[in-house]
Amino acid sequence: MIEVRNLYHDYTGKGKYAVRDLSFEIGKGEIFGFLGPSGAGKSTVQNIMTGLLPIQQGDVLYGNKSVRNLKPDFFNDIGVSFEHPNLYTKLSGYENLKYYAGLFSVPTQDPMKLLDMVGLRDSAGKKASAYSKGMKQRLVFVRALINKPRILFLDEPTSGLDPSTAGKIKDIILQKKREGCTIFLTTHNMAAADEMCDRVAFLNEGGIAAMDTPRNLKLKYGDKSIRVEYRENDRMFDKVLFPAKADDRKQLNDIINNNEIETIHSQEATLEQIFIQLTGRGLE
Amino acid sequence: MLKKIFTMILQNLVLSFRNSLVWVLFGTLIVMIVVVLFAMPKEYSISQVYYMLDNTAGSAIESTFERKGIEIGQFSRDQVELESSMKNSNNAIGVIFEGTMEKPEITLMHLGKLSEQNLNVIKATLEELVSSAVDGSAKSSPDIRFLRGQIEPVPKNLALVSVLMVFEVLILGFLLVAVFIFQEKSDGSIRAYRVTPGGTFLYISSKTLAFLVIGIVYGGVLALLTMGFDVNYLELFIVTVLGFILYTLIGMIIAVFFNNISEWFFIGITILLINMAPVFSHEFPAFSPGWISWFPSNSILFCYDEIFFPSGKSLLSPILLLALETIIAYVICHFIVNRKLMKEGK
Repeated sequence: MIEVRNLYHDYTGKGKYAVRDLSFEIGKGEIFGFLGPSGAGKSTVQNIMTGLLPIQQGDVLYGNKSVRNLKPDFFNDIGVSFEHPNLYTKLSGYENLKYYAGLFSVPTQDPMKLLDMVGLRDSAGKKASAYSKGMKQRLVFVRALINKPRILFLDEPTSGLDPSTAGKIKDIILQKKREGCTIFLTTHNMAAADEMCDRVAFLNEGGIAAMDTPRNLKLKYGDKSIRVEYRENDRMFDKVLFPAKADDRKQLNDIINNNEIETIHSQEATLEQIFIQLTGRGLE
Repeated sequence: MLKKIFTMILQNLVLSFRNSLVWVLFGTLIVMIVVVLFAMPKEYSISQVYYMLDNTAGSAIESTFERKGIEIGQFSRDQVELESSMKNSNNAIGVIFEGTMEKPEITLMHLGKLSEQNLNVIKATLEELVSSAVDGSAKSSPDIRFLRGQIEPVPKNLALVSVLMVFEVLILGFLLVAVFIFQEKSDGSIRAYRVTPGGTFLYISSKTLAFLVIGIVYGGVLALLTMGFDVNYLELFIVTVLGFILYTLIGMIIAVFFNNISEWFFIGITILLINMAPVFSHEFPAFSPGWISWFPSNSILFCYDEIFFPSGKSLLSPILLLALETIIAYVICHFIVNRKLMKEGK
């Protein structure tokens, strides 16, 4: 449904590319995670995909239509949630949604219902300037849903939210996916991406380092390990062993045969560990 | 489209009335009305008072003036009385006639507040008066012929209304649009607008129309309370609408290049001050260099003068010129807003 082909972008015009030869596809109803640290080029790609930055090289296709030739109606089909809350601070939460809804040429959702979904009903009449950062983040998130979009661009939608509220947002995202919405999720929160995304792409220095389902990435790049806690001569020991290695397999057999086992768990590598393994850098 | 424009106008109006600048401007409106109606005099021209001394043989000039009924001032008996009379008035001019009736020598005395040019004009006028009194052509007042119908002199306090309409009312859009663009850039709400089907035309038109509503109320109240009902309100409406839109568009063209009021201040205020140049030729008609007519404010000022104090001149030409300027300003504004405001990274 969405196809990004050999995308390049250079802000400086001096061959210093923020995005280099980027290609990927996103299927209808898929949650596609775009993961990477700050400055990796995530926002540049999202801005090009939403038509906010002109394409310099490559293309972005929606169906068969290039983003170069998109008409304003395109924006009736998409919803964009920004990382930094960008609201009319002198308008109330309700007014922010009501006036925003008025800009679309398609049926929109009831602002109060949306506010209710993210626990802002009681603050609907308060000016956005009086909202906390988390409340603003939720308001920006539901604003992206006001036009019942078919494609959602979500930039760090759970950033700065408490676990309970972040859980609510995740539920709404998964519900939108079930309704057939295609979701482009930009984040550096690997746990959230692992939980929600059908596929993820690791973005590093403007290029894709790896792209697959979280499970496949773990199978491909993450070594499985076994963590064992055991007692030997009245002393507790804790070891992580990798069954893929012959030495570790032998050592594990010895521990099981000769010691009293307290706990034993198999462990998968996390996406974050794989990202570090592939790029040699962390996510912050 | 109409629904979108209405929504955006409403949003901008709500935001306007939550902005302290608008309330400050309405406070200024009340002050302006009070000043025009109660603080400013209707006439503040300074009239010169002449004190004369005739030292010609047999006081020939004094007696000729008396005989012919020429009254331009009071004659003194001697120089002491002349100087004493002059001390009682700040605007006094002393005139001493010497020589003969046919070839008078005129000496002017004054308190040092008159320019050389004015003194020369007074002297030449007096010489002409004496000379015409000798040959019998003198008249107590010159003939005046009016090219158009004679109009009532304009009270000075009401003459100010035209100036206030241009430089207070019309520039409201210039200021408001800058404040709104900076607020939207600072809040980031402009980024949210960019990912809607709104587009450039809706953005420009909704802001312009919302501020126009405020401008019409502002200007309407000023005109009604100072000039009353005896004004062609249709013409007033047309000129105000065109002028207001023009200044709002110019304000938008400039504001998009800046991020906040501090960056904008120097350029914005400089443009407003330059725009006020036609006030000088309005207040001092002797100063009217050709380049003044290139300022849109010049023709708008002329239009308001004609609307408030009709002299029979047609407004069609300046109104068409204003409409053309507004269309050109919109085309430039659309291009610049589309490039600088509706896209990221510009």
